[in-house]
Amino acid sequence: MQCRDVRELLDAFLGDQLLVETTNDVVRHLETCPACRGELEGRRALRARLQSAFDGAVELAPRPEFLKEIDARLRTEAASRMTRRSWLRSWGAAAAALVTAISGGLYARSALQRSRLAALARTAAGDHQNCAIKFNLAERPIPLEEAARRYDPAFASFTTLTAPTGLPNGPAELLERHSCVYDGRRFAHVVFRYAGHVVSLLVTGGNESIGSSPEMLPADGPVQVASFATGRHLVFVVSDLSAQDTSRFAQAMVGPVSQRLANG
Amino acid sequence: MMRETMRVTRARTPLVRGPLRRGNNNHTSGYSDDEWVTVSDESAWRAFETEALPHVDRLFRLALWLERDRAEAEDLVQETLTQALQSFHRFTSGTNCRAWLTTILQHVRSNRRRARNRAPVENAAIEERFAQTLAFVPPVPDHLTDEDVLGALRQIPETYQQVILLCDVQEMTYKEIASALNIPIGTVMSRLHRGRELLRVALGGSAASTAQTREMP
Repeated sequence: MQCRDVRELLDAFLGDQLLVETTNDVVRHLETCPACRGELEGRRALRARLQSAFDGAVELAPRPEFLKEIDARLRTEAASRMTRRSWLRSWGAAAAALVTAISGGLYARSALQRSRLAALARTAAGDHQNCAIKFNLAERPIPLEEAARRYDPAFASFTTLTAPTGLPNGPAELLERHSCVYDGRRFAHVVFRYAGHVVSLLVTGGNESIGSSPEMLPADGPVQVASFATGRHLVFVVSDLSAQDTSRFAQAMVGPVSQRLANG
Repeated sequence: MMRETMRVTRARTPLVRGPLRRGNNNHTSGYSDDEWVTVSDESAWRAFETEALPHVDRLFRLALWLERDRAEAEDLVQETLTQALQSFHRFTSGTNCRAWLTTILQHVRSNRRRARNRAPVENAAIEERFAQTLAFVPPVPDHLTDEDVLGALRQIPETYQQVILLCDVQEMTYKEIASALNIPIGTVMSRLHRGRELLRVALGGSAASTAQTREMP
């Protein structure tokens, strides 16, 4: 190994980021090269100085009041989460009873279906926010294969779903596939990144009245929701892209999703 | 050559199942089934208090360095810790909690900047401008003060400051940095290389000017 090669690797050597064999090569060179040893010591001293300067800089220190405030806020947040969870458990049972009562015939069928669809759109938006963005689900996601065995065989068809092509803002990238539950609703969840944004494709069982072409639905918060139906399934595309881009993304997914569900 | 010979020797179980680091479909990485089922919220808080809160000081210093505004830094750290608390069941105990928190901080910061339509931290023009290896990289000066080092660091582009801080101060592995900044590991390595060269050039200037000041009557 020549001095030039060693110096290129010295920082990685200091950070313990080299292969064992490469580390041995560097060590062997250092044993016989005082100039590179000096260079190594200089870099080691610089790292140490940088760390101590950063940790010791008075102007970068947090205010003691801020540390107290943050501690108090986090404690409050933790306590409210405990309360919220127990409340949600009892609320969930009440909500289920209410939905059953409503489905008993209080409203006209079509109005009820639109209302259910809007509620499902909010649930899908909530799943996107809590699973894909904040990673804050109450129940751990499971693989699609397992969900297909236990809940809905059609979910297996999404194990091979790939990112859509031909989108106007460049290629989309597949990030993850799984099945998750939000607000009592189980979804097949495929996560993409497109134009720097996270996009969720959420599929769930349902026969609410909606067409096979994407339709924008109202959703709470900053996200857009496009939805279409295929067979006995509803498909939601959720993102914080513009409504137009979300709709285009959903449009690009109609063919692949419908084909998979039809074959599955 | 560097790409071929390097590996991450301190690689750990992935720390965060986040949209900005997902490269595979192993969505259960970082989960502990036992924690999901049996750990109560009270004990989760105690674990958070023990594992995460000791890192608040350094996390804040990094936030303030990057934001250059104390109020912004406080907001950023608060949002980071709130998200960390909400996602703490996904942290694998015994792994590098500071790296996990720093990754969340970088993602929160990136989302905030995007929401405000501010330019992303990564800047292709800067990459291009500094893409070439410098013709001469001076040796590390013998006598350096804390002010020299921090002043020199401030002189180089933020893209490079960031990777140097994450590597040398936060002690994150290349893989962890790549995940936190959502960039390929090769880009981390090249930014570190260029950044350190630029830092040494800047240090040469700082040290020379400090020495000159010392010699003045």
